[in-house]
Amino acid sequence: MRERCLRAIDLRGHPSPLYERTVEILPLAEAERGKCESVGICGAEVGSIRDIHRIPKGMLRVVRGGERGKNRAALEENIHMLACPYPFDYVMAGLAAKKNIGLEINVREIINASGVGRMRLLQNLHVTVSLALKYRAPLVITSGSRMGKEVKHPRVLVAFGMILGLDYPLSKSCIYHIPKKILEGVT
Amino acid sequence: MKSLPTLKHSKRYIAFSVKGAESEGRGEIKKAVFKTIMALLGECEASNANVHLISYTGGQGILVCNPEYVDKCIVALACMKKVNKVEVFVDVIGVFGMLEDAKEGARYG
Repeated sequence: MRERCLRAIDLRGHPSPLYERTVEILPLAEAERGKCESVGICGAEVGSIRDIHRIPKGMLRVVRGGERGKNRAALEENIHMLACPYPFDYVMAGLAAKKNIGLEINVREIINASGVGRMRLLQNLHVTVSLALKYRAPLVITSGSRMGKEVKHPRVLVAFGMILGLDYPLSKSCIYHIPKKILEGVT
Repeated sequence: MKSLPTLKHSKRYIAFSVKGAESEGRGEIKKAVFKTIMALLGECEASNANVHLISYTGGQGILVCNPEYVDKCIVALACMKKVNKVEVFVDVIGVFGMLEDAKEGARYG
């Protein structure tokens, strides 16, 4: 008997039959050249707030955070998802909830980190998740896979959500309902 | 002493696949699995998790653990990057409540 397959949408990953939809997120330069190969919606990631307006229309707008000021400025812009949402505070959580901006938890980053680096990453993500829960900000769990071998089963993404402090139903909604809602906002 | 049936601990069986280390033996996989579990959970939690590698053949294996630690064990498996200095990609096929189901899941996974 096979385990019941989870419905899932991967907002940053390699196309796989395990997922209902997968979004390929490209760096801005490649997105501008139209290098997106996947069917459906593609995304573009920028590192700087100034480049947000350069992202072509109809694409998922993603900003790579990582610093407090940058995260805050990104959340005040018209974007769909914030990658690396740490350091995070209650003002940012309120903004993300108000503007329905997804806060990305990238499983690949956790897997590739090790030792103290992974400890700090999990610590930061714990804070992000607890604030997002308190202010009802949307959280999105993505696999971040770049090739077929790296693709993870949706159950693995749910498990990552659960070790960060989410419960099972909420963790499942972070891989299906919330990404679905974000994609509806793109089209 | 044999314990009462009502006092038995329930178990969960995690079927997983290892891509890139099909030629590695059970011993190497076992060593790598326990290393990653110890790194992520630590000694105290790993002892409570009651983890055992039941079988491993042809790149697919079954891990048994305490139901409360299923998610942590899945994360630990996903964090496994190298087996015997060879880069591997581990994916979970499914979580099962019975060994027969897990074997079938691993076979068709």
